[in-house]
Amino acid sequence: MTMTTRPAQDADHCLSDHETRARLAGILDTAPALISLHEGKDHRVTYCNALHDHLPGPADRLGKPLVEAMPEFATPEILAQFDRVRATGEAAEATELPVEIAPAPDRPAVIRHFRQVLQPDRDEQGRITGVMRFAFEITDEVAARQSADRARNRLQTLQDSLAAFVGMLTPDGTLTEANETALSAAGLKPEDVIGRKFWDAYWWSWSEDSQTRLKAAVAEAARGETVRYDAEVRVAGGAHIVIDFQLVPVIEADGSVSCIIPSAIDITQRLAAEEQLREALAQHQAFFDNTPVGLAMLDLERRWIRVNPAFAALFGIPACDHIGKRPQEVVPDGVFHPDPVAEIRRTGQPILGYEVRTPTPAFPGQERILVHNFFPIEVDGEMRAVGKSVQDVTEQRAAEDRQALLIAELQHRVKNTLATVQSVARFTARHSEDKAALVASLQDRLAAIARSHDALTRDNWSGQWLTTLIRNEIMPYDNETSDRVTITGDDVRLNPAQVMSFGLALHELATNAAKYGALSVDGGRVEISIRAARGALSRLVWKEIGGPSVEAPTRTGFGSFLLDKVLGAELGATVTTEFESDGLRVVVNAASDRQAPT
Amino acid sequence: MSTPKRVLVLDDEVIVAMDLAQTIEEEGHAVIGPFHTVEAAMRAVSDAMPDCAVLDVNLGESLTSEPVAAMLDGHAPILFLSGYEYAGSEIFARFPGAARLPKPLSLDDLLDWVRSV
Repeated sequence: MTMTTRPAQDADHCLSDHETRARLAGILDTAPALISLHEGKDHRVTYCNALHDHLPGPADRLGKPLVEAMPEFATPEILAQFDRVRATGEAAEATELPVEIAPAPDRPAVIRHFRQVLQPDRDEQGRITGVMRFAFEITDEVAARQSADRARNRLQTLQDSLAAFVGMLTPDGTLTEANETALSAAGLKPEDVIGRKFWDAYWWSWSEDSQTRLKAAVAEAARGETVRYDAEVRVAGGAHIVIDFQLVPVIEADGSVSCIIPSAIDITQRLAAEEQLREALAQHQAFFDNTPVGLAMLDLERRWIRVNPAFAALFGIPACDHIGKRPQEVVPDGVFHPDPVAEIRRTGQPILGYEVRTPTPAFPGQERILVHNFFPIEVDGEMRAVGKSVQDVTEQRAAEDRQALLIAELQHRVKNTLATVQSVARFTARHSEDKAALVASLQDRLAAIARSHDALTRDNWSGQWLTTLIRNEIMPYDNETSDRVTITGDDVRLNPAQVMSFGLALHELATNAAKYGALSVDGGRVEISIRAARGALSRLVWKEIGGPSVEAPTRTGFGSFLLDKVLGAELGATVTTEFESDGLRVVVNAASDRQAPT
Repeated sequence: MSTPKRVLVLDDEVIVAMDLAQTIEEEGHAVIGPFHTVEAAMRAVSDAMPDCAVLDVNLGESLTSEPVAAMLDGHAPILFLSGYEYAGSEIFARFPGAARLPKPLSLDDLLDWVRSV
């Protein structure tokens, strides 16, 4: 190896040239840098220190152009730098030069980094004779820095991508960092807030109270305490959100607080959801409490876990006295489904319309009819409890029974009325001289039956007043002046069977009076007097005055038959019919020692 | 014409009772009654047992002809008349040997029964 360097020439006043060269060569060879000298346009190598021996390349680099001697370091950029130094005499530096170097000929290249300085080499006249090259390997430092950069980048990305708001404060409350989430939520840029007091920043400045609170919290954190509270902050567009806010001091080894980490998450939606949930729960509770249907829930051990007021009222036992107990423990003599939980488990079906007759404390000494529905309360497909609805149908059943009775009663009345119609029709047939008379009489009598029917229906088939029946039958023949018929005396309540026969009998009397009697001529009139004893008819007088002279009929008509037989039979009375010169007189005398039969 | 019989008739509806009686009499039988109350019919039965009896089941309010039927049961055949289709089943069950006809009734059925007993 030969060297032609100036330092070697400058040192020769102390040491011999040889010694100097040997020492310099030794120093250069152990220097922690690749050192080489280059001359000529192709920058051929005139010197390179021993460190180059660890690099690939030709064994003897001396005299060879840069591209051959050190191909890894002969990229176009480096060559250009060499050219520039040579041309201008100005030093050049590549602070971080990546170089691909294979660790061994058969191994793939790896990138190593060098800081390379190129300086002009000048002769004694200052002319540029070549280029000096110093390349310090900085691979480890670059790797360490890249690793640190990556770590920092990851941290930044992490911070910025957090859904949480994160930043950093000095202990006096100056904001030194804020993540992207916090900034973008409020539409801020870092320069808007970094370096300012945290409480003066947009998030907090809307409210003095919240600023005061924050100042106190920062002061507390600066003393080493973690502070956490829910706060309202302002975000983009002037909107407000609620945050779960926390200040955590970073405490150093000496106990001092070096910085404070503020962080927060937006809980506005969570609060809104909680409010919605609270509202929904309140609605469900009110629904449960206010429904008129008894509702309750049994756990899987058949113990009451919920009981609504309607349910409690059904049994006359406060809802709270049910909880945790089994049905039989609450109402020992009550009748309950033996085990709805087991049945629903077995069948997988709700139990609907389960009816029991049971005593309940709400109605001592009474049996109530309760209809139950049991249904599974499932959460996530798993039965957690059994719901139960119960309705007291006792009154409803009684009403239904009454209804059924009424219908049966109506049926009976219709049949009886038809039987009466049948009998009236046969009597009419027996007493009619021809078909035309039969039809006319029958029509009139059916109409009379219908009027009695109406009279009965008006008072719900409880009976009717005698004078009402009389007016019903006779008033159609007294429609002019209303003074031809007078009714005096008492009034009597008749039972339904009596109403029918009285109605018909009165119809016959009225019809006869209108056809042949007092009401068939001008000036004729009818006087009716009624006397009652102990609420029952004792005497009825039907007296026609001013009519044509009448004689006893030769043949007994239906009217006479009714008067004689029916009224007599109904009232246990004697009926006297007299045919006087100016009109008919009928006297009904009830037996004094007997009540009218019912 | 069958053998004349003494037929007791009980119906609270006077016109119907009269009609029944007249119908039966026209067939040549003797009618006892017609009665409109349980008491009157019971008195008549205790005086003399009829050959047979035609009894309206329901006699108004909550009364039935059951006490009369009880006196007749085993002594004279009974024919119940009822406007009820099913409600009379209790009394029918009580006197399983009794015949029954619905109201309004067919006179032929009534007279056939009187003739047959």
